[in-house]
Amino acid sequence: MYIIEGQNISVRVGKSRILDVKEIGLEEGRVFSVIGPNGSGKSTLLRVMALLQNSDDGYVYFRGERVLPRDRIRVRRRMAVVFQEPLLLDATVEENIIMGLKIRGVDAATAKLRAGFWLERFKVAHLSGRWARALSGGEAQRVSLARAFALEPEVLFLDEPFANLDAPTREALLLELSDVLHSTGVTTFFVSHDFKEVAFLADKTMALMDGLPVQEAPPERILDHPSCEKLAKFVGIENIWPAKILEGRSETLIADINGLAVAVKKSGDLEDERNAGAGCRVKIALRGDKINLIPRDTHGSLDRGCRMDGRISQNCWSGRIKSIFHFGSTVRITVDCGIDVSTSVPVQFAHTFKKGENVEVRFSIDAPAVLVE
Amino acid sequence: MLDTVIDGLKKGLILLFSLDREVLGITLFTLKITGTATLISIAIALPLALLLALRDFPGKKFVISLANLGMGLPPTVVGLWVSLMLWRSGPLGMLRIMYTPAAMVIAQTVISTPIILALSTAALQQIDRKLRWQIMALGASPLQMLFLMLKEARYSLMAAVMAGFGGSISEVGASMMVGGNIQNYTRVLTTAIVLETSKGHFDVALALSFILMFLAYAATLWLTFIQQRRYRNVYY
Repeated sequence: MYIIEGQNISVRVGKSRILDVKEIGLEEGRVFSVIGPNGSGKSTLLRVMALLQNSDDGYVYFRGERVLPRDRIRVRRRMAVVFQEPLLLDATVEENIIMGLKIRGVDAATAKLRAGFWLERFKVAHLSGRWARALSGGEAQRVSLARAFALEPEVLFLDEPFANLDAPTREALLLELSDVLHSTGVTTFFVSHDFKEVAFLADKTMALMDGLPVQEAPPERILDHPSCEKLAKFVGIENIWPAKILEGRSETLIADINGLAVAVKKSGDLEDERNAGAGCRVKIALRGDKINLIPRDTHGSLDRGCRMDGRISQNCWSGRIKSIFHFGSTVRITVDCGIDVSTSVPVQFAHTFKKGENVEVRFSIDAPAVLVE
Repeated sequence: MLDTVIDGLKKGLILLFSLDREVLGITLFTLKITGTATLISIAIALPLALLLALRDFPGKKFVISLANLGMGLPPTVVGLWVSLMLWRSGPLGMLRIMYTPAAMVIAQTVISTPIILALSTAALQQIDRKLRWQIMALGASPLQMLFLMLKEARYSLMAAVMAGFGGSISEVGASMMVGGNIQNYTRVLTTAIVLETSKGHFDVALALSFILMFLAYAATLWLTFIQQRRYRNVYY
């Protein structure tokens, strides 16, 4: 049974529907995340689930019981929310933590103890007497997290809590939060537009696009096999090619991408992909980090053909390096195989490749995803 | 001219520090009238400001625009309308409070209420909507929410109250029209200054003006101290 569940959640602004989620549920002790670009409705969904905003249709259920308007405050007191901004009250750090506990009827002594514990846990105990509005962004967000955990919620809602932080602070806080989430085992609803954060924290992810859920799966599954082109682009898949299915009946599907054959093992959990038959126009998505780039000794003419080894476990294309761009610790290499294939290699391997050289592009048949629009 | 001012200053200071009975009486009466009017204005304006800031309803913008308009109400216009209402033949004539302190309180309340209402509404509307979500998420009841919202806007609300108090204490037209400037009964600092100036008693007028300025300054100073106190633990 889900600890908190939403059925037919729908929110309209004027005449347009900005959120339409038929079913969403959080299993106890798990981290459930919602990912999507800005304006996809993920924060609205969080507010509806956290009972801070009404849904135009549908209901929220808490521990199997429908939350009626008269129950909202009572149920809210069993949950906690951390927003993108720390949203601390105009008071001292300690008063901020204690205020929430006071609202929930926790006695003063216990509140002070809990505040001290959680401020210590998030490494901001030394700031307890400071005015909350005078803290840095990272410190304030730590206080905000401490305030939420001090409430000992049954469900914790996190609405992009790291979005306003600089990279080192974000990384440090992400690690600490992960540690606290694992040690407390609190059920968490985590909203983010950063896939790295989601992949790091979440057990399961719902991808929202334009207010509609487009996929619900473990984050690594979404990253490997996104359900649509928009999601593939959003999670940063570098290669998306239009293709035509040549053979789609067996477990391994063969498609043609501008004259290049590609073998793709069906992922099995996407219905559209299962139903894609010969002649069907699709898109093939391939993450750059799934590609092995192998220098070729021969400097012959560009081989535009394609071949697969005997077991059809790997795709193998020939091509010539078209461009090399340095992005800090990685190097983006684009290979012309008749179609442009992009991949990234660590900067220490960059010297292996030179523009104009012939290379082999190899990737497993598990690596590409079929996007049926 | 300069001699008159210097002479007036001297006599004024003597009157001030010798605690002249009449001057003291007028000062205390002024504080009583304006203080009462301000308290009544707070009681009317704050709930209305909360309603305007936190609830959406048809005509809300119109009500806010009326409050904003009310901030600039000329006291003589207020005096005229309150006089018409309280005049023996007016709709509230049966109360028989024309030329009494009560009439002055009513007039000053009419002047300060829109000021406090408009400024308080603006102060409460400036609170981040997300902070309201956060307070709700903490589990606040509607009453706890109102308390925390008021607490959050407390410095701006104090400024609103001070502006209302300042508007009332410094007005002369309405107090003159509905109070009548009756000695030992409805005379306040502003009406006394007008009277003493018209009689050529610049020393008394100056003394009274100092007191008036001191009262306004004391209120501002108090507010500034409270506002600055919250930064006591701030380190940058």
